[in-house]
Amino acid sequence: MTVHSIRFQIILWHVIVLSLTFIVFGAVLYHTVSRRLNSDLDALLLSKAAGIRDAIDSAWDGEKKDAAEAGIETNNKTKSQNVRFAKTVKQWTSDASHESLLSSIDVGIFDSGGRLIASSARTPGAVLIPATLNRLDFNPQGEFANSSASLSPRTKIPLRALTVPVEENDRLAYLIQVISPLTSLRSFLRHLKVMLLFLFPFVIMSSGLAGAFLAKVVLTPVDKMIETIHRISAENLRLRVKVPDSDDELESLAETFNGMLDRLEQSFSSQRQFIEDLTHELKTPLSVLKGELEVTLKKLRSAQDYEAILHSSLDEVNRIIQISENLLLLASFDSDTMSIERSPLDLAELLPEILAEIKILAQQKDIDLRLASRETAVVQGDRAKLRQLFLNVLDNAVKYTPPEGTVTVDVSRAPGYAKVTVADTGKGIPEAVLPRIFDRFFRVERNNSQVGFGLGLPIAMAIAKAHQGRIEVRSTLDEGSTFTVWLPLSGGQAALSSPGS
Amino acid sequence: MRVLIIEDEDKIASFIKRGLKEEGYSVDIARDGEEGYFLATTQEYDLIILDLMLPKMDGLSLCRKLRQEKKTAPILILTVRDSTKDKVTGLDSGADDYLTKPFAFEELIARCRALLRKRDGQATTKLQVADLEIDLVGHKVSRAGQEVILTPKEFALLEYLMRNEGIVVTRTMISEHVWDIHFDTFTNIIDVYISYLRNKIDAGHRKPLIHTLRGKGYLLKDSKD
Repeated sequence: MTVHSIRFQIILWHVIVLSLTFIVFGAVLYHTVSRRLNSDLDALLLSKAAGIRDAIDSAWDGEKKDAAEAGIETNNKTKSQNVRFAKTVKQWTSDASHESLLSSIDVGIFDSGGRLIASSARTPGAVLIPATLNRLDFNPQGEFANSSASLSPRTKIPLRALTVPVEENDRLAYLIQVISPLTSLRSFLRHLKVMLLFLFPFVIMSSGLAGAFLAKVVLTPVDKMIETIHRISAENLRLRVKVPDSDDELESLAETFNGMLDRLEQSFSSQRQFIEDLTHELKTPLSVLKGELEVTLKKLRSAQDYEAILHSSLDEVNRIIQISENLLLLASFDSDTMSIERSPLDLAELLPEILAEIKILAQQKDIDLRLASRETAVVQGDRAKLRQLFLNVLDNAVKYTPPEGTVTVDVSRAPGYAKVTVADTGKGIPEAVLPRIFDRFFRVERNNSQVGFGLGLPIAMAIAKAHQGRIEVRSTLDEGSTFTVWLPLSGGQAALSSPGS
Repeated sequence: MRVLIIEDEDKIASFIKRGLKEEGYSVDIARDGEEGYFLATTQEYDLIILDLMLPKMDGLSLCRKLRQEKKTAPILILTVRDSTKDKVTGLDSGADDYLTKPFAFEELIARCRALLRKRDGQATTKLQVADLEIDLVGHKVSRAGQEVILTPKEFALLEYLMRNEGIVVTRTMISEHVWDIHFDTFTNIIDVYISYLRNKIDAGHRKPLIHTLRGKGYLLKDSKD
C-alpha cells in the first residue's frame, strides 16, 4: 500500500474527518459543561446570599423585639457598626452552621468598615477581605471573585466567593460573603478533559479501522479486477473481468473494460487471421516458383520444358505482383494516404461503361448481364477509384454466378444517397460467413480455380468508405446475393432527391 | 517407394510429383482432405506428404484420423505455417516430420529418404546384399565393385527388393510400392522390369541374387547354397 493508493487515502481522510469532528465535539462539550457548572454555582451562591440576608434580618428583628420586651433601650438601631448586631450575627452564624442553608458553603459577614464580624469558615483562610469596600461603585447585586485557600503549604483549595452588600437607609450596612470550594467542579471538569483526551487515540484508531474496512469493501472488486487484468495479455485476450451485479460505477467500469477487450480481441484475431492469410497467399506462389525452378534445374531439359516452366514462373510472379499491388492499395486506404480526386460524376453514365467491360467475362459464362434501370445520380467522387469499386463488385458477381445465370444492375437515388444494386443468381453466401466477406483474403470457397485473391471486395469497401459511403450485402442460399453500394449524392442532387425516388 | 501427396495447390503438387518421379518414386496426388483420406486408407504408401490447409478436411484432422486407424506410413507435413506452435501441434498429431514452404527441393528429398530409413530401422544411406551395393542418395549401384547403370524405375524396383531382402514379395506388393495408382495390374510389366534387372545385375555373375518363385513372386537374397 503506497501513500498514493486509494486505500491509503480513504483511511487517511476517514481518520482526519473523524478526528476533527471529535475534537470540535469535545471542545464544545467541555466548554458548555464548564460554563453551565460555573453559572449554576454562581446562581447557588446568589440564592444562598439572599437566604442568609433574610435569615440575618429576621434574627436581628427578633433580637430587637426581645430587647424591646425586656425594656432594654436600643438607642442604636442601625445594623452598621452596631455591637449588638455583630453579636446577633455571630450568634446566628454559629447556630445556623449546621443548617441546610449553610451546607457546602462557607459564609463570612463583614461590617461596613470591612471588618469580619462572623465566619462559618471550616476552611482556614477561606474568607476574603474585600479589598475595595469603600468603592462607591460596589455592585449592589454582589461581586464574584476566585481565590484559593491553603490547607497546608502544599495543598491549595480553589474557591469561588460572592460578596453581596446589604444596605439600610441607602447606606451600606454590612457585607455577606458566600464561599464555595471549587474542588468538585474542577475535578469533574478535569475528569471530563482526561476522558476526552483518553478517548482521542481510541477514536483515531477505530476510525482508522473503520476506514480500512470501508476501503476494503469499496476496493475488493477493484482488486479482483486488477488481478484479472494482470493476467490478460495479447495471447490471453479471452479472459474477462467479472461484472459485479451492483448497479454502480464498478459495474459500469467492468462492462466498459470488457467491451474494450472484446474489440481488442476481435482486432487481434482479425489481424492474426490477416497475417496467416497473407503468409499463405505470398508463400504459395514463392514455393511454386522455387520448387519448379529447382526441379527443372536438376537436369538438362528440352526447350519446350524450359518454355513451359518460364510461362508458369511468369504466372506466379504476376500473381505476387497483383497481391502486392492490391495490398499496397488497401494499406494506402488504411493509412489515409490515398488521395481521392473528387469531381462530379453521374453513376448513370459510369455504370454502362463498366458493364461494357465486364460483358466479356459474362459472355464467357453465358451470363445475362443487364442494366435494369438507371436514374441520374451525381456523386462527388474519384472516377478511377469508383470504376475500380464497381468493377470489383461486378467481377465478384460474375465469378460466383453459375453459367447462364443473370446479373442485374440498378442505379437509383435514395434520400441523400446514390444507390447501386448488383443482384446475381449465384449460389448465395452462407449466413455464417456473410460478415467476413469484406475481410482481406477471405473467400467463400478456396478450391475453385476461378476465384481470385479475396481482395476485390475489401478494396471495394475501402473505396466506398473513402467516399463516405458503404456496401451492404444480402444473400439467400441457392437464390443469389444482392450487393448494394451507397454513395452520398453531391450537394445539389441531395436536395433534389425526394424520399420516394 | 510409393508416395502420396495431399496438396490442394495444383502447381506445388505437380512439381513435387515430377521431382520425386525423377528420383524413382511413384507418386499419387490427392487434392483435398477427403480424397487424401480415401487413398491413404485404401492404398499402401511408404510416405505421405501432407499440406495443412486443405478443403473438405484439414491436414491435422486427417493426420490424427490416419494415426487412430493405425496407418503407420511416415507423414511429412508440408505447409506455409511456420510458427513453433504449429510445428508442435503438427508433430503431436502424429506426423513424423515438418517442412515449411517455400522449401528447397533437395531438402524435401533428403527428409523423405530419412523418413524411409527410419521406418526400416536403417542407419546408413547404403544397402548391401552380398557384393551388390546401392547408394540411395547418389542412386549408384555396383556389383562386385563394378558400377551398374539403371533407369529410375529399375532402381526403384531394385531398392524395393533390397529393402525386403530375404522376403518373398508378390507382384501386388511390387505394384503397390513401385508403381503408382494408375498401374494396370493385368500387364506383365513387372516381369519385364525384373528381366531388365536380371540382365544388369546377375548376368555374368556366378551367384544370381534375384530369384523367381513360381506362383508366388520374387525374392532377392544372397544364395549361399
